[in-house]
Amino acid sequence: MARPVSPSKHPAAPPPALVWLGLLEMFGRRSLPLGQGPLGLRRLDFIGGGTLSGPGLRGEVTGGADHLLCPDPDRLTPENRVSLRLDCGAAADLVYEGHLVGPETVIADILARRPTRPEDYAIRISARIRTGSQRHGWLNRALVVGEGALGPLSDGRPGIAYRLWRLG
Amino acid sequence: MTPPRLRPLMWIEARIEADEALEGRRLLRYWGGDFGGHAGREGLTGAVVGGADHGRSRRDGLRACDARLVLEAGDGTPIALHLQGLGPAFGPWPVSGWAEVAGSSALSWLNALWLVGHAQRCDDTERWELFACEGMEE
Repeated sequence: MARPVSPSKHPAAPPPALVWLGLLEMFGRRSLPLGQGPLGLRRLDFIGGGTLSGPGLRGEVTGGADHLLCPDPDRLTPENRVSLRLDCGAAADLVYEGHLVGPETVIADILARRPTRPEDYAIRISARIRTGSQRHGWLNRALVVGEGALGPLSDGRPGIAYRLWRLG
Repeated sequence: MTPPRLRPLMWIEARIEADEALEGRRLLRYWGGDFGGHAGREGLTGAVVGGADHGRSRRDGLRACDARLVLEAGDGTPIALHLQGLGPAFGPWPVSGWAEVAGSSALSWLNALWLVGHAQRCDDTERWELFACEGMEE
């Protein structure tokens, strides 16, 4: 049995700063259902393109894939690798994982690509970006968190948009 | 752009049982320590019963943390924390991730949270401070 510990042992520390990084918008190309695997239902969602835009940061999504897993009826776990072309011409690699949680009916709607409301679910991710760019080398040292929403992108096509912050 | 609000959730003090290097990785094993919830989460207390960080030592001198912390709450509920971080080897480094608890547990609300925070090593102990992104709770 674990030993209870008084919470007063440690006063709450200040939270980390969340510094706005940018908006990542991506649309899909095709999906490849893998069916039930050892960890749950798996589907590969290939990324057709998109954009990344933020203060001093612009890029084009050139491809990638989400190895989406449904381990439980009320949860999806995205596992993405996204390739980017930054405005300086350098390539970048954005890797993220996280979870999408919501009621079972909403998760079922999302898997079936039926319309959903962002307030009915939550998508949170943890991301890292790697690049050889001198100008954007700071991205290599950033731990990024984001929250996502499914729906129309700024150009009107369906996709997913992530608001990204750098953890300071 | 307004960031998500962060609410203090819990602290963890995890004792490091082993610290080994392996082909560019730094393998830490945790054994022992305790944790506790902050205001409003006082029931979230217990012990660190295991876990590991298979982080990567990078060429830029930073360490990419990839940790699984295994906790046992006071009522015996196991809690697995999946946390990533990036920063100096001894910290402080920002962290981000989530918790995994059995759905039948009274602590299953942890499953819906997204966690961010920071961690720091001091001698053979790592201290983690975690916050919940507001609006994630059921």
